[in-house]
Amino acid sequence: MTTAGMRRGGIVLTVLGLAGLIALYWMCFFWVSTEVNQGVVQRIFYVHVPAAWTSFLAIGFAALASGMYLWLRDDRLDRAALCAIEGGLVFATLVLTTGPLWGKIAWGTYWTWEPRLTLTLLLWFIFVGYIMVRNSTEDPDKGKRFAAVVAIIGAMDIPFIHLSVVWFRSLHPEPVVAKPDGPTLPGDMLVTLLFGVLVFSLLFFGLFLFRYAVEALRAEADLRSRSTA
Amino acid sequence: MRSRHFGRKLISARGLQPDNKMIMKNIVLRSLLLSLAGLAVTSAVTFAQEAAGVPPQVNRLAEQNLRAYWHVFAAYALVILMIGGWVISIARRLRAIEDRGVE
Repeated sequence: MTTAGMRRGGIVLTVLGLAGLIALYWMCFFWVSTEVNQGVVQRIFYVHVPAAWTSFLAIGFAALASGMYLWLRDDRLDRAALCAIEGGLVFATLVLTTGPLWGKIAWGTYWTWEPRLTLTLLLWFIFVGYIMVRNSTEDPDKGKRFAAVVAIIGAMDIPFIHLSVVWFRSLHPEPVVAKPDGPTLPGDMLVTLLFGVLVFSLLFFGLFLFRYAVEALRAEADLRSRSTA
Repeated sequence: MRSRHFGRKLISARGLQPDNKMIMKNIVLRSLLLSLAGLAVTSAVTFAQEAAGVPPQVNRLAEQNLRAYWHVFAAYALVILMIGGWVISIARRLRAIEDRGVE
């Protein structure tokens, strides 16, 4: 796919995602039923969980691209990992801000050092760490290699985050969808949640493509300026 | 050129520099936009309360403690802000690269 094609594809997916986000908000406020015990605050779930899913998708994708980069040393793979990490940072920040807003009402506190929250904060630091490590070396290739290792190690945090509520005594609710006996959510809540996951994934891939196109253009411009100098 | 000069004369006659007038215009526009956004959020809270279909006694409780609604709206607003921020940051970087290409 050419850079222009990626840019166009990214814009189309992003517009679709934004339209989906409007539809998701409508569903959350006017269609889905209110949870009996938690009331209205449970609606944060429909943006919190999709944001978490997307941040996992981003680090998984970045780890895959980084692994391939370490093997093939193709700069396009490093650029893809960087763009995925940037998106992951955005969605992980959303997880860490929307979660405490729910926690304040449900638990009476914005933050508690329980396993899932702590591991999610660790994931956020891994996203930040990737960008810092990539930019902190004098030799850019060295920075790219070190950052690739950070992304691969970061992806190992995902199973721990998912299973932490099962393994440890935890305040955080247990999974209601990804569990061995199937989802336990009522139909309308499950539909809203899955639609949210689709919308956030569309937004991630759309903006990822758009960002990748920009990064490819920057690489081209750098190459041109080096060759003229 | 002539009309712009005449406009400047008029502005300075009223004690405002052209730059100051632009700043004032920006402030008024931004305040208007913020007020409209505030109005939209407030009415959305009311709609959501009604759509939730909570019984009257619960509604009274909600009136005493509306924080849950504001937390939900803060969470939803954060999603728009973060995604919008990322879109703007990518667009700005693209423009910077395109400007570099033109130079």
